[in-house]
Amino acid sequence: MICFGMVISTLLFSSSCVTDSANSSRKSQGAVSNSPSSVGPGEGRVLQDNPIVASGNANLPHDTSLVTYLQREPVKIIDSQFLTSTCGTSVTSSGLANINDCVKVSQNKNATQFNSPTSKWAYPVGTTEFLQVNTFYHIQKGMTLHHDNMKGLYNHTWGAVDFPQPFSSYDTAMPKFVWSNKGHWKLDPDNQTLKAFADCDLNNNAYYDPATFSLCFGYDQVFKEVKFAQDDTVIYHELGHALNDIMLNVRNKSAALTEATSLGYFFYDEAGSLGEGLADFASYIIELRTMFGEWALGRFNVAARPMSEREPIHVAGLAPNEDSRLLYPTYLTYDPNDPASVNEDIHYAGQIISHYLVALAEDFESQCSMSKQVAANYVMKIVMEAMAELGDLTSQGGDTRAVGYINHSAAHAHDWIRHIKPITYRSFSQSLAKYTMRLMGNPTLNLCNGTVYNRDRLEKLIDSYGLLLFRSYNEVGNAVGSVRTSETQVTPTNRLKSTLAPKELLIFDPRENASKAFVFDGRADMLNALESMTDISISSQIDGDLKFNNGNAKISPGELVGLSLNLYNNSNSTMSGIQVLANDWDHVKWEDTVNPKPYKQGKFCNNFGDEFPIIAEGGADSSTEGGSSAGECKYITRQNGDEANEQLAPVCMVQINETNSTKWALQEELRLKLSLEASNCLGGSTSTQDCFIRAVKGADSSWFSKIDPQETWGNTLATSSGVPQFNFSNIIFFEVSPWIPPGTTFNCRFRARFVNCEDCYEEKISGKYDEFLDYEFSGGKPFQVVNFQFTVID
Amino acid sequence: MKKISLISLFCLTVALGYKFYQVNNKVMDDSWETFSNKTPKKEKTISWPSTKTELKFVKNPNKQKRKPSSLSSNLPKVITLDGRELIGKSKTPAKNLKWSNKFNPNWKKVLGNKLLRFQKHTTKVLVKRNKSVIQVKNDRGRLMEHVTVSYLLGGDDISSFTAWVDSETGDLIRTWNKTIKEPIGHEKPSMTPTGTL
Repeated sequence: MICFGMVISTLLFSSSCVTDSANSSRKSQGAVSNSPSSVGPGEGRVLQDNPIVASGNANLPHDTSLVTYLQREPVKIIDSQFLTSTCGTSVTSSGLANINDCVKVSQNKNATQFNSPTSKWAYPVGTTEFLQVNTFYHIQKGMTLHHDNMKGLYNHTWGAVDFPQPFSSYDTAMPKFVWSNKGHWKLDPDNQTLKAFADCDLNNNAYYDPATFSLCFGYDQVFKEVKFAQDDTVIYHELGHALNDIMLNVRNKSAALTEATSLGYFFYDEAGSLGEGLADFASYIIELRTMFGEWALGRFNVAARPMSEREPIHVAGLAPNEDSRLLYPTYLTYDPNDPASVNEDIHYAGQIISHYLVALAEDFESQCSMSKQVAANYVMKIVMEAMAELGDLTSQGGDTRAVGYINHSAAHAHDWIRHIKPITYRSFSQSLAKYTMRLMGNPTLNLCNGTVYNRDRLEKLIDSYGLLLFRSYNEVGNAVGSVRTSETQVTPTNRLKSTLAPKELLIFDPRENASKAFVFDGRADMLNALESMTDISISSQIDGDLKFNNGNAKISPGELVGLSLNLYNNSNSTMSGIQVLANDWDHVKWEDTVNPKPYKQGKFCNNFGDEFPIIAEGGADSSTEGGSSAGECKYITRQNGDEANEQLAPVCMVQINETNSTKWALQEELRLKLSLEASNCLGGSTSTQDCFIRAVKGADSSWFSKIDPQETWGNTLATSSGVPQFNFSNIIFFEVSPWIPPGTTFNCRFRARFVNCEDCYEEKISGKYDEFLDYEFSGGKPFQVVNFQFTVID
Repeated sequence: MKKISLISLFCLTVALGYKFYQVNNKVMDDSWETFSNKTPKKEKTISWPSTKTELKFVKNPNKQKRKPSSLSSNLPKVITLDGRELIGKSKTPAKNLKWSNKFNPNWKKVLGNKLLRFQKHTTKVLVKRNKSVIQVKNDRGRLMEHVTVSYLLGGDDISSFTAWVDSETGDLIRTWNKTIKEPIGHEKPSMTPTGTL
């Protein structure tokens, strides 16, 4: 039956009387007849750019016949009968990098892939076949350029793909065996084919799904004939997400790891915004145009995005010069389509990095006397290096580097990348800067056409975007024992626009009658949140219908509660990328380390700047500690709690009333006092230290895009109604045990920091700045420790 | 009558024997399975082998194993125990590991229930086991499953991720690979505080 249908379709489309226009067989306004007979085998016609650009008409009507904007000359599509390609063929003639069936395009999930018996790929533009051909062509184009750039980078580092040299030309993150291990593609057991659905049943949306390695392009909600796959920039953007995924995991795939790194884990975080900006840049590198999505997003949804300050969509005052760039963090919440609004959204926050990358390419173009395309390619190669290093779950970050160079260790790298030390504008800019110097500033490679790209010039450009947030290049890495005085230092006088503030200025709102936290305990709201947050597990102690959630703005037994700390920026500059962590950390001195783990007894350390709890209230005495022995308060675990005498502790402690005093204690102590069966703990019998109050894993940190000086996030992001719009990533979720006696008081000891912080990431040693070592992020040193107390009330 | 009884007894014995074999040999079910709530009140979750239509979105029809290359690779040697890959490092030999959990042959169903716990009763979720591993840390081993999870949200909309799942409790241990969407003009998910503290 399917074959019969295909034959009929083929006959219909083979007919020379079939044309693009629905009602006419005539060419109009220079339109071409787009029938199979008008092209040769393996050829077809596509929209080379989106209809707005092709027409030059920013107000192009939704029902315009797009045939007018087809490229007259046919282009190569594929010689086979299906839109399924092999990739990597341009890398080497030996076939080493080839991935068979690496891309396959079809209409949607329910459709069988159509075939063209003659391998002629010209179809009327209103058909789903055309959309599939258009999608296939642009994906092929983007993917081929990507692999060519990857090969180019490999040539700079390891030499010829088939005959790499024993040592790399410079300290690179690119793995030597990337091709033979197929690290240039996503080779999960069931996922080596990128499935692209060109004509999805998906309104006002498109997506990249890394778990199933698929792309899906929808349609405009109002004008359903407007398809996202008609806009090549949207195709490149979604493909860009797939390529981000591949770049970020190039070392992980080369090491055959099952786990992968994601660029962003929350509704809003800086890694997610970098991912969106990089996906926009994926469109730039092919089109060499600095606008994205004019047709699918811009024309009918007012959601196009620029990538250069010279685009007229921008507000007045922005320009491509050092004083008028799209400055971080000022423009983190800026929507050029609605400049008056304040929008905490990863797509708009990502504009800063896309603008920076375009500006860097333009600077290469002028300083190194190269073409726009070549300059953009070099920027992409630098991005590839940065991504390979930052996403590395083996923790080496390069073949010749030691374990622990980045992301702590293989055992804990995922947690580091996810929330303990995530990829941010700071870490990404620092890594980009390092590899810019290793490539374009490397006289041996001579990539800048006889000159060397200048470090001062680079730092000034980074600073013009407010991104010179680091003071060393961190070439040595963050492993325990690494030499900490040999890092290349950023020239301080180059930092004019990038602002840094000390962590101690991030505090609770000090103003009169100000609250410490917003509470979310409404049943309907929490159920909606859980429906969306599909990748978290909730304790079986919490009722499946959240019947205990009473919406009284108190924390009550049996509830699932959200908390958003009301933090205040007490500095005179904007704070950005504020993060509050509620995951377990090293803040307890264990007293029963002669017994096997998990340790049950211990006291909370009070040496993290908060001086809490005092010894008389149950705090540990660390006055005689030397700080060199595991188990001490002054000793931070090197293995995130895995070594002997060390164990992490949950953030929340409980107040226990004794005959003549009260003290702060581990939750296990309350459980023993109440004689509660361990199996009734939120995490079951194996997790008794968070028996009563537990931050939900996966929802145990919150993000805030920015806080204005002398303000709270709520006031910074306030909408026209005067209140901010909270999203899931602004809230930490807690399970509250139904077994808690009402009246019990808890203290949760959060760790907070922000991205443009002067003492959250680095310190001065012997007159030179260097990054904290990764293990230090298991403790309190890189953070502002904030204590939040509440009493559970029925 | 006697014949029927004998045949029934034989079938029962074979079925029980197979079940016993499954449990004791920890047969790994690699197929996709779809889970859904049976009723609006979500008293019971039902599951079935995913249908062709459900699978079209998530399954890769062109499964292809890596081919030998002309260059030697540096891939680490995979160590297994009882058919499970060992991940992590331990000085303790694999056979001497202590166990922090035990294998539950119904882990997938338990996981399906948890994934649907807060979903509308019409929601369907597909789960596939990709491989089974033992995570080793110091002298302890934990049985884990690597799974792909895909919620079918109507039309061609899906929401997926990959995860490590505890082989006993079905708990999500670690997740990644979440779907990245471009929700143009859609209302953003938001929450309203009930008050302040």
